[in-house]
Amino acid sequence: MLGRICISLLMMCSAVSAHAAKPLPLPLPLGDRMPVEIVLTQQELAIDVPDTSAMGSQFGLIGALISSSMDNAAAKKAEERIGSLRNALIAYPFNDRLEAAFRLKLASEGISSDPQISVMKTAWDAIDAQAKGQMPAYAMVITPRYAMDNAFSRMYVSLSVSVVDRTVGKKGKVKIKARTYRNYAFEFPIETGKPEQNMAVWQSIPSPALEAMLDEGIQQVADMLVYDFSAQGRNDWSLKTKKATSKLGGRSFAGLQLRDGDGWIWVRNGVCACPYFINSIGGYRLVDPAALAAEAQTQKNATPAQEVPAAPASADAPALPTADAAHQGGGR
Amino acid sequence: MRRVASIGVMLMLSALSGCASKVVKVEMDTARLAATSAPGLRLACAYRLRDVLDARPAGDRAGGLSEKMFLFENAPEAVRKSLEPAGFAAEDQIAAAQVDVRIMRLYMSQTHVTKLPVVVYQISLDQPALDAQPPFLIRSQAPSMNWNGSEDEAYRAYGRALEGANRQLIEKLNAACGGSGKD
Repeated sequence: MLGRICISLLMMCSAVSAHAAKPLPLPLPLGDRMPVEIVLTQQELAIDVPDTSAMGSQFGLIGALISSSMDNAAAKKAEERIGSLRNALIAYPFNDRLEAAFRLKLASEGISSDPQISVMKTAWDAIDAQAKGQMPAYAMVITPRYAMDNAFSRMYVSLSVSVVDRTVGKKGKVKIKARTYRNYAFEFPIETGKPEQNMAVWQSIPSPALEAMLDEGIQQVADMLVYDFSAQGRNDWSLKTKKATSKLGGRSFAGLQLRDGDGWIWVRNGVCACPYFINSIGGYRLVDPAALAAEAQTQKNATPAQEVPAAPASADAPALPTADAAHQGGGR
Repeated sequence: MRRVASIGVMLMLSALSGCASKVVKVEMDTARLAATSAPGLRLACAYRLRDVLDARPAGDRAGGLSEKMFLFENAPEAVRKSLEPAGFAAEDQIAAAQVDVRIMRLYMSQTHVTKLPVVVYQISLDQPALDAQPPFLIRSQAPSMNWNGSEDEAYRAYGRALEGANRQLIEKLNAACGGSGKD
């Protein structure tokens, strides 16, 4: 699996920055008024379905078709299951919360004292503006994501970050060279079982607790980004992380431990070089669904006269029924 | 973590790379979509469709397919038109309940082989004869293989999701009044 990831990364990186023999330096801070672009890509919680196309294409057209069909079937099954969780989060404004957190946190010694943050509503908006030469020549590009794996063993918030230089070629086409790629993810793993069992665990967690997890994920990845570009963080980029493992609550996670707190850890990790080492910081907080459900029940009992709403997250967001009350279906 | 990292890198690179350097903006055609998304059921009782409101946090951004970016400004009009064949009561007719539809989501997302159109309504029923009921959600997701990412293919997918949401709505309304409403 890791080998395939490396191969695909190599191919993609060579497509984007084939001529970047030596990465350009990254000043500290990156710039006085550093442009920071946040590219939004989601309207709801996503689900990651493994891509088997590389394996299938080794067996020609038939193999590619079979692997595509298998991937599509896996995606359909996963989408059928995740609907109730999306309903539970229907009033949660992930993109707004992330933007607000980043506007508060990104002013820092390593990035900029006065970052100029812009938000692209979709990846298409970002590509369009870039192709039209409307984007700054030098910028930090952040692509956030919130998702689950298709076994529903974890939910996470992640960032893909690059610092890029854009130049306009002779034919007017914008060329991009990345000075660095960085990845940050904060995960909430549960004890794993079959996908349907795992989904039942997530469905037992009340909406406010799910929203609180995503809020924490946003704060954690923002902190990771700020730390990673600080002087101390940059010193740590060369740390050897191979074969390192870290422990949290009796579980092991690959990577060198960087920080820990009340029930969470950060580890430094990385994959491949191309020509860059794709360096990552991962964070973990183990989920105790029974405790979260009990806490919600305690709160509900404390206020018997009121029904616990699904936490309206914005002024105009209505209170909604909980996940099990909402109806999932309609797919073919 | 490594898989999360690689997915993140792929997303970022796809956003940055020249793979999709030219974006085709598609303003969605309300009538074209409404024509393929009727619920296929009729109301068994007299309901009036009162408000159809746009509550989409992403505004007119309705996702996309391959290089196509779909912009859908007047989603309420499409939903109202697509529900017309179900036989909602007219303004001057007597209705037992009024139905309000809030469009919470209407978008298309995609993975490497699957396109996923999504429609989510929040439904409120105003029934003077009964106690107020809390609003409820209707979600329709219609994942299918992404064959060539064409505009026609996208319209068909949006239409299936919208038709699924409309069908669920009519089924729920009919169940609430004890009718079946088969065509």
